[in-house]
Amino acid sequence: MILARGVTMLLVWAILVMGLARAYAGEKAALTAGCAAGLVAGTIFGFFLFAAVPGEIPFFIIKSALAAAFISLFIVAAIVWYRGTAAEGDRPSVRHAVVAITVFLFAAGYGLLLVCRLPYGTDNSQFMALLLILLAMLGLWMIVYRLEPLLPNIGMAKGGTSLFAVSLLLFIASLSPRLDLFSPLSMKVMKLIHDFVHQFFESMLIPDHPFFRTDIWNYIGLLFSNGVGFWGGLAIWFIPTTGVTLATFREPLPSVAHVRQAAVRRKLIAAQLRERRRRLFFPLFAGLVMAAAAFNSSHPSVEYWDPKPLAVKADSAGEIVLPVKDGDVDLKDGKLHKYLYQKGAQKVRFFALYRSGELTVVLDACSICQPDGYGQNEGTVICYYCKTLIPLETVGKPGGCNPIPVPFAVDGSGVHLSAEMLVNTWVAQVQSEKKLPGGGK
Amino acid sequence: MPVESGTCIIETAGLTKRYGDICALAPLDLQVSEGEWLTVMGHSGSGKSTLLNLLGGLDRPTAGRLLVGGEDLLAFSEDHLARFRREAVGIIFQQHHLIPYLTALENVMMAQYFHSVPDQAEARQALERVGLGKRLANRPGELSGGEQQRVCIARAIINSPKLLLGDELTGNLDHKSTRLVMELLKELHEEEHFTLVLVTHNQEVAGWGGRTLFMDDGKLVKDLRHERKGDDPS
Ligand SMILES: Nc1ncnc2c1ncn2[C@@H]1O[C@H](COP(=O)(O)OP(=O)(O)OP(=O)(O)O)[C@@H](O)[C@H]1O
Ligand SMILES: [Mg+2]
Repeated sequence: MILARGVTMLLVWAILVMGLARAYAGEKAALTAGCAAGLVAGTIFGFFLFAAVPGEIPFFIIKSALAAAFISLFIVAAIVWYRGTAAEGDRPSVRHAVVAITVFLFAAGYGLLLVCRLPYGTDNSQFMALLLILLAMLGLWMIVYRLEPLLPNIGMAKGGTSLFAVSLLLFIASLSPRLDLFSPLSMKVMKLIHDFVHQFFESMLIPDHPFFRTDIWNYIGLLFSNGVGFWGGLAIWFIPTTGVTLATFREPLPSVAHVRQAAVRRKLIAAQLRERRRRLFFPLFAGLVMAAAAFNSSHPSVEYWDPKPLAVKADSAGEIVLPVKDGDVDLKDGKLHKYLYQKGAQKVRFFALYRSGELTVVLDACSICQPDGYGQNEGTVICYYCKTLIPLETVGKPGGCNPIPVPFAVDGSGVHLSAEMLVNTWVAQVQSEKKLPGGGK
Repeated sequence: MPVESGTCIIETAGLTKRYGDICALAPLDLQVSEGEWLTVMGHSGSGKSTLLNLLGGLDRPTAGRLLVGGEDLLAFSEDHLARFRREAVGIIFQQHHLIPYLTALENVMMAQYFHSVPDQAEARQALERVGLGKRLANRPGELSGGEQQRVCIARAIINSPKLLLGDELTGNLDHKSTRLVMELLKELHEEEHFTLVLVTHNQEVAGWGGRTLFMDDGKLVKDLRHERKGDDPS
């Protein structure tokens, strides 16, 4: 597993560096140094980060760095839009430094993600993996230098390249739900729209119902559907790539009016057009990678542990008893165990989970989302509706998108819950389809 | 007539083309200076077209050396050769090879497209130059043989080739049309300074050039430099 993931990422890395070296043949030395140093630094920093800081904080740090990189793309796009993509003539020494630093940052990000892609922990196997990676890198390096001259020319506009680099990082991040940026982005967009609509009605002092017919509510309901967040997020997601691509198209070609011979003039124009097409390579490819990242994020390949809820019944005293150990079932195995209690038409889903050395029981729903339920992944449970990841340690605490905790008692015979309390909590706190106009999927 | 000065644009040494047993072109040593107007004459099957095709990079020789504009054509890859044909050579055939469903203008723009990018204004100018300013929108089928041949000339010179090759380009034309085409070629030759190699059966056409090669059975039998006509009315 470690090797498969690590080797894949290193292969991608080698191809990438090869492409970069091709695109910036003049900066090969700076590029090489930056890439190597960055990858090593990122990898080592990643290991120490995970060793030194517990819990979700490293992920938070990495995610913030990714978000910063994503936001910086907007700046890149703006610069390209106003200044054009043609390579500008800085002093060579400055250019080397800029290339080296940029590439270092990118490589460090790659190294960090590399660490994240490998399973948790910092035992010896991880250091072995690190060693292997560094060795493999050295080998790949030689190949890069050998193969690079064989590649065809590719565009070398800085905007496009940085776009591509960051989109690649985002793509790798999208492979693990904890680092994925697209879902939170679409979530933010959705929340923003919800808030806006609520604010709008409140500030206009319009009482919700009497004024509008249902079909108008249906249109407003569209704003609340899951799709809005997705499409809105997608729009923001693609602004930088689209911007750079359009800017490249929009850019005027250098004048050839001074060339007397028509055939020569046309040849120059053709060469410029070819050059511009080449400069489109990176932004367009970046767009593709971003699309893949968004796709990944909405179709996570991660398998969630999500057992079929076990139907339970209350005894004559209105009490539900879950045995802690019953045949194959062991509540203390660290996996979530789902149950279904039904009273009349009212269904209540809840789960028990053993984490941080304690058992906890919560509803399979939170108070802000549609009750799509939760699935378990390494270190977290995920709310299927809003894709929020909840660290296992905080399951059992109330608030936000955390599953709603319920009172329970544990004794020798098992976990004891009140059936009435379950039903009441569910009815009182869980969003039903009817509460939000047009909500749901 | 003095030997023309200037650099060699065509230089062959032992250039040979065989088709199985048939020797279409016996080993040929030939030098053509830049800007020269050369005519190739000979019986049918004497290897004239074969020579022309070799010069234009349309065909590869069996043996020998072939330099055009100082570059060794035999060392070129297929890609490079195709580029050479597009950029350095203009070719005019007896059967015009115009695209029947495109207009005169579009036919010329097609050559621009394969060379670099199309430029309509420039293509229109080229057709005006060969006297077809009013026939831009006509398809080849709507043009006379002489007019079609002039479209071919416009197409052949549009990319400013160093070398213009014509194979029996007046073969289908009557006396008057032939004269018109030759006058046009003379005018263009003076303005554009390309090197012209024409294959013909027509003694009169040969008179327009300054040098004539006579071929027989694949061999060069006579290399004659002579006065150019075209200035005298006939
Ligand atoms: N592709 C071919 N395969 C076989 N033999 C060929 C081929 N092309 C030409 N030849 C032969 O090579 C010889 C020279 O042909 P070429 O076309 O050069 O003659 P030409 O001088 O142009 O004649 P014409 O005046 O009739 O056009 C001829 O004997 C011909 O049959
Ligand atoms: Mg012939």
